[in-house]
Amino acid sequence: MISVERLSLRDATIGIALVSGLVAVALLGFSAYMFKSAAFDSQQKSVARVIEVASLEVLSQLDQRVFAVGTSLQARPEFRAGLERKLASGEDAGLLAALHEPFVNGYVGAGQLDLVKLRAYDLDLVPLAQNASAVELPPGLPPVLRQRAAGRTGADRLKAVSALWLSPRGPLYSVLLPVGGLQVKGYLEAVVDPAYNLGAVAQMTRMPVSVFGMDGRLLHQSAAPAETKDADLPVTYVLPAADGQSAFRLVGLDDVTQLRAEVWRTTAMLLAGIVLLGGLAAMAAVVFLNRFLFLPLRGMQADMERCAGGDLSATVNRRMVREFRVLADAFNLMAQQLAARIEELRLLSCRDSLTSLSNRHHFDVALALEWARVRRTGNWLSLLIIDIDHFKLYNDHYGHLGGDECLRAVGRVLAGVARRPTDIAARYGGEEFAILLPDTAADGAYGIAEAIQGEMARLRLPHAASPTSQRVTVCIGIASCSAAQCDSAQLVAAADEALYRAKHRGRNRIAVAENEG
Amino acid sequence: MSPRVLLVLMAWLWLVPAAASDRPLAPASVPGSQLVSAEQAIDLIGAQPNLLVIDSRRREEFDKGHVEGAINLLDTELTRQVLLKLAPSPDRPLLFYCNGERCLRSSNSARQALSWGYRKVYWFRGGWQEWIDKHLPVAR
Repeated sequence: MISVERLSLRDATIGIALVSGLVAVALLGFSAYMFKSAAFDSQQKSVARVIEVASLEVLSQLDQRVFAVGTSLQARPEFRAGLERKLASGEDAGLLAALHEPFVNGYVGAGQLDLVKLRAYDLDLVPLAQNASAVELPPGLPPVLRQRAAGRTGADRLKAVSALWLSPRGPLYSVLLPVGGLQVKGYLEAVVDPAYNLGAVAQMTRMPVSVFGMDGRLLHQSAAPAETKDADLPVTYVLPAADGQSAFRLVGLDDVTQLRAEVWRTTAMLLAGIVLLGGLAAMAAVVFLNRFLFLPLRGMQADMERCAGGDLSATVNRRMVREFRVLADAFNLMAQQLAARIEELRLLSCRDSLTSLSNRHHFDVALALEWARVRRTGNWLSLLIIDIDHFKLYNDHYGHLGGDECLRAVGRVLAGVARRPTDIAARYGGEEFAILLPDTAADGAYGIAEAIQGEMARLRLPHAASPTSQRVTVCIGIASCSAAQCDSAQLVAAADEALYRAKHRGRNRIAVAENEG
Repeated sequence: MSPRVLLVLMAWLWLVPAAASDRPLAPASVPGSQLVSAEQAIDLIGAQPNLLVIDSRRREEFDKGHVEGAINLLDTELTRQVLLKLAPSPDRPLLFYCNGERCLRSSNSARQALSWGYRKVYWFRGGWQEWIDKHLPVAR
């Protein structure tokens, strides 16, 4: 059992396409077989119908000929006289002689009939006499003919009746016709072997036809072709006797070369059409799926892996089929939201919540980074440490909320002064602030410090509790260094020391570290 | 008459009967005569020994086979004198037939016999075709 997690969409698609192709080919093969069978069945039915019509026509012609033979025989004076003598006195020599007579007449002589027997009957269909022939038949009228002839009255008794019937020696055809013209005196039955005439079916249908008895005996075979071709389709028609039993089996050989060729042509066209159209459709599907599903999916996978690796700027390409485009959009939205949240958190982790300046942690990180850069580039780096003068007294006087407001005001001043993107103003702790000025030497830093004090003076924040001024003032310690002259800890220590000196000299002072390079 | 006109006329003469070949030519009935079938004709022959059966077809058709006892008299050869010789009395029953529905001879003969005053005229409209279709005895 294949686990679905290990199955790829591409493999599944290819698998389904292959299975569909195989099913299509199998169905095509089956339908071609069915089509061929149907075509040959239909041909067989049509040809069987043709043989049926031809054999019925042969029987009809046979009937007319037998009727003509019987008519001419019963019209002979010696026959009628013989019959009358037999009926009157039972003397049958004349009748027998007459019955033997016709073997030289018309149709029989011309080889158009195989006359098997002649029999005479009285008006009640009781047998009177029959000619002696090589064929012995059961005595009396064949049952099917008796059924048709007995019990008739009036003009109907004058009508000749005929039937194809089954004798012990095989199927025979009998015509029973009245003797004596319109003053019927008896009946004459002429019995012929129809197999002799059924050979004409071959000429009518223009195909080789063999006539078999129902015992399988070959009774007649038309001029057979030199060899039986593969293209010959044997078609069998069973000719029924008058009582519905099977009398003859006629087997014709129908030349189906053309039909076979047409079936093959149709099948080949169908196959070519399916292969061509199916192939084109499959190719189009492969190109489409590759372009808008498989390749974009692979890209999406790579993009997702990049995102998972931390690069949240990576977005997934959305040019693909709808279901996956929705997925890509959802993923992009998710990545975007995630990036925003992370940025928010990063900012929160770097900011001092009161003044919105960088916090001590971010300052330390920035200092380490900048110090490393100074080591690399050899540029100047300056640090200002700012302390609010008498802030404890301010807090005592104005309360902590007032103190907080003061810290916020100083923070705004520092943020306004440290305007370059690389400048970092931070709350260093309590009422202490720091400004890191990359690529800035001591004089530049000093200018910044003066600007801070100028801003504070302009702001005129009242400080009623200050023993030195009525306004809030700050002391600023400045330390600067360039490559290899100091390390970060020394820089902070130097700035601290300068701040201490500034405080020591009174309030609202600026001091520069002495060991600067 | 130009050869072209003659050709058109010949074509017309050939085409018109050909186009009408499927329709029966014989009328449905001949007023004054009695229409009979093959069976009724046989019954009449048995019941009325003096019935004169007249075959209106051509001689060669008659020779190939006809109703027993019939005489051959083509409609065009039927005149009052000939019929009077065969049947002097207008009460003698007469039965006319020819080839069947496609034949006009017997209906013409029956109509003429009626016009000459014969009172018992039978017309076997189905004629020889009906006779052989029903496998009835053929006299030669």
